[in-house]
Formats: sequence, structure tokens, C-alpha cells
Amino acid sequence: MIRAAVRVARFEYMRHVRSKQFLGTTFGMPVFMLLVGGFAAWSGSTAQNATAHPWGYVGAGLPPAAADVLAATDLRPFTDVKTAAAALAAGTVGGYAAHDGALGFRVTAWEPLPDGVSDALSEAIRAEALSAAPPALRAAFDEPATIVYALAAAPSHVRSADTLWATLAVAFAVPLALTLAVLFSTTLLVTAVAEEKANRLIECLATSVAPLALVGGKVVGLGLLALTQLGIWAAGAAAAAVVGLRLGLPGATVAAMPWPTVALAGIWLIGGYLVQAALVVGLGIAIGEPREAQQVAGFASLGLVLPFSLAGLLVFRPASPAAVWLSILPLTSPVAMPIRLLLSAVPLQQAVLSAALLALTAVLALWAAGAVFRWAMLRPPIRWRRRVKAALP
Amino acid sequence: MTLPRWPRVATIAGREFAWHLRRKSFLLTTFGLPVVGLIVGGATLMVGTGVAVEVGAAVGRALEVDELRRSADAPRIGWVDAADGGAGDAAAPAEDDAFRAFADVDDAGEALAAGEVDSVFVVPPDYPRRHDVVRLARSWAPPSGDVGAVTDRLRLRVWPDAPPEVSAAMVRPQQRIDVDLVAPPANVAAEAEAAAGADDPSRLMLVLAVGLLLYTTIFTASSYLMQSVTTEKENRVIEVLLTSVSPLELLVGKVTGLGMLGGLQLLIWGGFGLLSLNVGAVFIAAAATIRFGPTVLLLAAVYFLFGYLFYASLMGAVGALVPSFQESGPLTFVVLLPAWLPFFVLELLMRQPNGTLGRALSLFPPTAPLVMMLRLSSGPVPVWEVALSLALLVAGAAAVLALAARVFATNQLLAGEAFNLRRGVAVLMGRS
Repeated sequence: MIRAAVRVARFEYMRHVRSKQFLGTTFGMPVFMLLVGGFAAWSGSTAQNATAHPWGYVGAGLPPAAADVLAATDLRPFTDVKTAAAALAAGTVGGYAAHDGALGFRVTAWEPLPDGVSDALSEAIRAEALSAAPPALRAAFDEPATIVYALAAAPSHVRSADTLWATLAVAFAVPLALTLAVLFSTTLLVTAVAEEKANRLIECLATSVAPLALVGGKVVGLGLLALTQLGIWAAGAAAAAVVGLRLGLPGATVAAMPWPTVALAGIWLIGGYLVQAALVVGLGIAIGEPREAQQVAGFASLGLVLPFSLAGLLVFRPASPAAVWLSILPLTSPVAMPIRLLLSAVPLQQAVLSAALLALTAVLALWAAGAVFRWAMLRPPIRWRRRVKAALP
Repeated sequence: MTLPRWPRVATIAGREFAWHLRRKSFLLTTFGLPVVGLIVGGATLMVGTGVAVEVGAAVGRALEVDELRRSADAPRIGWVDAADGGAGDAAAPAEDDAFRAFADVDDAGEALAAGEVDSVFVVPPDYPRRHDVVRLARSWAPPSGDVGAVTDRLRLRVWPDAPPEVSAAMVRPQQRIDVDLVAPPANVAAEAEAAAGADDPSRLMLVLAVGLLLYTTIFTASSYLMQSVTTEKENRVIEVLLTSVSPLELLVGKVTGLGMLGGLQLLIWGGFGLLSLNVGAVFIAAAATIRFGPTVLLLAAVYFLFGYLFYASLMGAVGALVPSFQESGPLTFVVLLPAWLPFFVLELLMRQPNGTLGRALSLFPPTAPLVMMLRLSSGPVPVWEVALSLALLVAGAAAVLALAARVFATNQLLAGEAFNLRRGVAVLMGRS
């Protein structure tokens, strides 16, 4: 039986690893996400400073510290308030700022104060205030502390602010990659099973391969496909990190990432895949129509998507009861537990309980999928609409 | 190219329209969506009572929604200060009740675990000689406003005799900027209105809803067209059809019939949307600022028509090229990708609808229907730009229709082979 299962697994793996769908998703998805992220980041940062018209400031009467700051910006300098007001009335500028003589600015505008201009004026005010401090205290008054970060559970293990942002990015990128790989491979799985059921190929296969070997082979083959996909993405990320280091990315930030925890998240990947795979195999066999099976498989994966929509809770309240339950329940734990593990100190018993429950669920789900497979193999596809109609008076 | 025989086109169009009109998915989408919107909107406006509120509150409590919001808006800060001056030093601002002093790190850690504070700052004994301050938290989440508050507090420790206005300028410089908004000059009134509206999130949502309405109807009808072609290819009905109609007649008939269906859907949703805006204007100020004069409505219809023709032709070509619906996904994704470009740069488009990017995307045929409607609903747009955008869209739609007609040839419709790029290019170049 094992030999037959290996043969099925190899067939499924080889069939899909060369498919355009796999290659397109594996190589196209990161490029697409980088493009989307790049566009959105550019749009967001440009929008912060976007103004319909240029803005200006009145240079006369500005203290030197503030004048130097504003001269380095894109703001248009005016010699006096009268000239600036004339430009405003003509619609040439959207607004102008004039120093009020007491560590502040008076802005006259017909356009709301853009963030970029507000930031520039704030910097000028701070520069002016700083110049009032005694020279010996100036540096400390400007930046009175270097804040370093630590978890309450391990106060001596500190990180820098840059590392926190990188950790947050990794904490979401890893479960996202796991989810995408699991969803992709389980979609292929449900389609393959439903198609073979619909065109009755499965009945021919069942004459020479035991049902459990067939299901097991498909699940293992497409699981390896998910691992291949993750391996390619990980290699891409590593290459990007190497390039980033050469371009000036701080090596300490890369080194400070919780790489062993990332590897540990693999446990929840495998468990999550097995649970999802068993669910969709059961559904694919029971439904037997590829399009409907795909839709139902989409619903089955909601458990993986839910933790992303409750990201705020997992990030800022990782020890709250809801976050703990999300990371223990087998349908949501493949995403919720890696996020908690990467961002906080998870008690060992919670991690063990989550992994054990996931493993138990995977075993039960696979057994149930095998049972459904045997039960439903020779049945025609279930027409739910007809059944509902027939059940109605 | 032979001209299509119009009675046959009309027969196909009528059949496609009538068949899809009766589809449950169409009826459910067309009438179900407004009903769901009505229920959700009504429930929100009525600020419901009874069980719904209790359930909502229980879910909110479980997910700690209020706590998350409070800690983001006003973080409670624990403070362990071993340096001279200690926790209750004179430099601490009197109004700073966000700070809570702890004798040692253990006490502070317990308060943090119990949720009494959101973060704890540990000031070293030899501060300010060594000015590494440790922030303890429950997770590695990046900090919120607490770091700024602590920095400001420490600044007062560095120079306790600082004049109050100097300290205030360092701590909250934004509060020292007085803004005097004046009426805009006549020549920039429209831009000023658009700029003022860009900061209003409810207005953003409403403008976005208008664009999505247009896109959804275009894509629904186009995807029906592709489904129709692939289904007929799969069940081989197309072979029977091609014995009595030409491929061009089939394409034009399907495009016309499903275009009518999309138009009907737009009419129903648009009517419902206008009604909602009129009702919503009573409750939401932004609803009253959205302009939908007769000209904008007429332009919306024209943009729908040619936007639909553009995408329907593309989807028809996709349907002809792929052997089955299941295999249409990647090609459909590529074909529809440009349409999503405006959503990636939405923030910039909302802030500067008449900026360079907004102008460029409103002239680019794949994005013109959405971006031009977004610009038109934000304020006046120069007539020549609307005319040029429409001319380019019409030309684009005609070019894509011509390409689709080439793809929609008998040998492609009957072919069952998988799509590949080489074959696609050969078909488009007329070599297949």
C-alpha cells in the first residue's frame, strides 16, 4: 500500500510542479505583492505631502535656526506677508506660514494644512526651541533617551526600534506565506479529487489502488508541492536579504530576527496543511463537482483567514483569552500560533497543547476523509439544491 | 470581414439576456446586495437595541476592542525610575496621570501582565549619564504614543529650568501652529473643494462605492460572457451553434445581450444608490457633497458602455483561447490586472484627483471608467479631458473588439488544446 501511495504522491507532485498554475503562483505572487506593496507605499507617502498648489513661508523675521530648516524644504520663500497674501489671493500658493514671534507660526491658507508642511513647520519650531537651550544641554534636550525594547518576560533581551518593525513584518509574512501555500495546494487537491470523481476516473484507480493509499498519496504529494513553494519563497527572501545587506540593511536587524521560531512555525504549517487537506478531500469527494467543491473549500479555509482579521488582538494583546483560544483551536492555530510565537513569549504548555491538538485533529480528519472516501466513492455527486427542494413540502 | 447578420445577432443577444436574467446568481447579486446594504445601513443608523447590541458588546469584550482602542489613543505607562529624582520627581508634569510609578521591575511586570498598564519604562540609575531606557511590553509590537510621552518627560529631567514655552515647543510643536482658513480664490474653488473633501473618510468610502459599482457591473457582465463561451465549449454546444451562425455574430450577440444585462444591473444598483445617497444625506454630511448631476449620470452610462465593451471583448477572447473555465484563471488575472491599478494608488488619487497620476489614469482606457468617474464625482473636470478620455476609451474598445473578433474564430472555438503564450500571440497576429 505504501508503494502505491508513494507512486500516487510522485504522480501528483510531478503533474503540478511543472504546471503553469504552480509556476505562475510561485514566481508571480511575490512579484505581484511587491508591486502592489510598492505602489501602495508610494501612493501613501506621496499623498501625505501632496498639495494641490505649492506652499510658502515668510522668511523675514524668522530666527536663524527655523530659517535654516525651512530653507531646506520645498516651501516657497516670500520676502513679506503682503507678497505671500497676494500669491494666496491669486491662487498661486495653497497657503503660507509666517512666524508669530513666540515659537510658533500663523498659517493662512485655503487648502487644509498638508502633513508634509506641518512636519516642516514643527521641525522649525523645535529647532528654534532647541537653540534656546544652554549649549551643554542641547544634545540631551534634543534626544533625552535611547529607547530599547524588551518583553516583560525577558527584560534583558533587548532589541532596537528598527528590529521591532522587521519582527512585525516577519511575524505576518511567515503565516501569510504558509496560508497561501496551504490554500494553493488544497485548492489543487480538491479540484483533482472532485474532477476524478466527476469523470469516474477514481473508480478505475480504485481497482488497483487502495482508497487510503490514493488519499494519502494525493495529500502527501501536494503537501510536498506546498513545501517546494515555500522553499522557493524562502530562497527568494534570503536572496533579497543578502542584496539588502549589501545595499545597507543593518546586519544586526537581520541577525536579531527570531529565525529558530520561524523554523518552529513549520510544525503548524504541516499540521494546518493536513487538517485543511483532509477537510477538502472529504468535501471534494462528497460534493463531486469541481466548481462547487472549490467554493466549499474556500469556506473551509476561513479558519486560516480569521486570525489575520483579528491581527490587532494578536499583536497588542497576545496573552488575552481570545488570542490564546485562536492559537489553540486547530482551525485557526496554524496562523494564530506562529504570530504569537514570533511576537511574544508564549507559555510552553500553550504551545504544546496547540501542537498536540492540531496533530490529533489532523489524524482524525485524515481518518474521517478516508471514511468519507470509501463511503462516497461510488455515489453520484450530491445535488444539494435538488435535495433541499425535495425536502421542502 | 463579413458583416454580421443582425437578426441572428438579436436572437443570440435576446437568448443570452433572458437566460442570464433568470439565473439565481444574477438575481441574488442584483437584488440581494441592495437588500443586505439596506439591512446593514438601517441597523447601523438605528443603533440597534436588545439582543444584537448585547451580542455585539460581548464579542467586543471578548476581542478587547475597547481596550485596544484605549491603549492606542491613551496608553497607560508604567515608570520604574532608579535615577536621582525618582518616580515622583518635580519635573513630572502635573497633568500626566497616564504615568504610574513602580518601585521595581517585578511590580511593574505584574501590572503589565494584569493589563493595568500598557508598557513599562525602566530608567537606569545613572541616567542621564547612561541614557538607555528599556521599554517593557507584552509583545514585540512597535510602540505607539508612549515613547513620545516618555521622551518628553525625560526632556524635562534634562533641563528642569526650561521656560514653559520652550518645553511646550519641544513637546508639542504642532499645537503652536495656528491655521486660518480663508475662502479660496474663484480660479481654484473646485480644487480647494476637492482638497478639503480628500480628508473626509466617509466621502472617500462613498466615492469608492461609486467606482466599485461601475466596475462590479462591468466585470459581472464580462465574466458571464466568458463563462458562457467556456461552458458552450466544454459541453460542445458551440459546435452546433457554429453550423448556423458565424463566430462574429456569436461574439456580437453575446456582448450585446450581456451588456444589456449589465446595464439593467447598473440601473437597479444606481437607482438604489441614488436613493440611499438622498436618504443618507440626512445622516452623513459627505453624502450631500457628492455631485451626481444629469451630465455625470449620462457620462457614467457612456463610460459603462465602452468600459464594458472593452472588458467584455477581452473576456470573450479569453473564453475562446482557453479549453475550460477552470483554466481561465491565470489569463483572466493578467487581463484584469490593469483595472485594479487605481486601487493601489487610491489615497493619492483621492487627495489629488486632478493631479498628474489622476489625469494619466483617467485617459488610460483600462482605468478610465473608474478614475474619470472618481474625478467627476469630486469636482469639475475640463471638458477636453473628458472628451479625450472618452475618445481613447472608444478607440481602445474598438481595437480590443477587433482583436477579440480575430481570436473568436471557428478554429479557436473548436480547439480543445491548453492555452499557451506562443499560441496566444500567433492567434493575435493572425498566424493561427
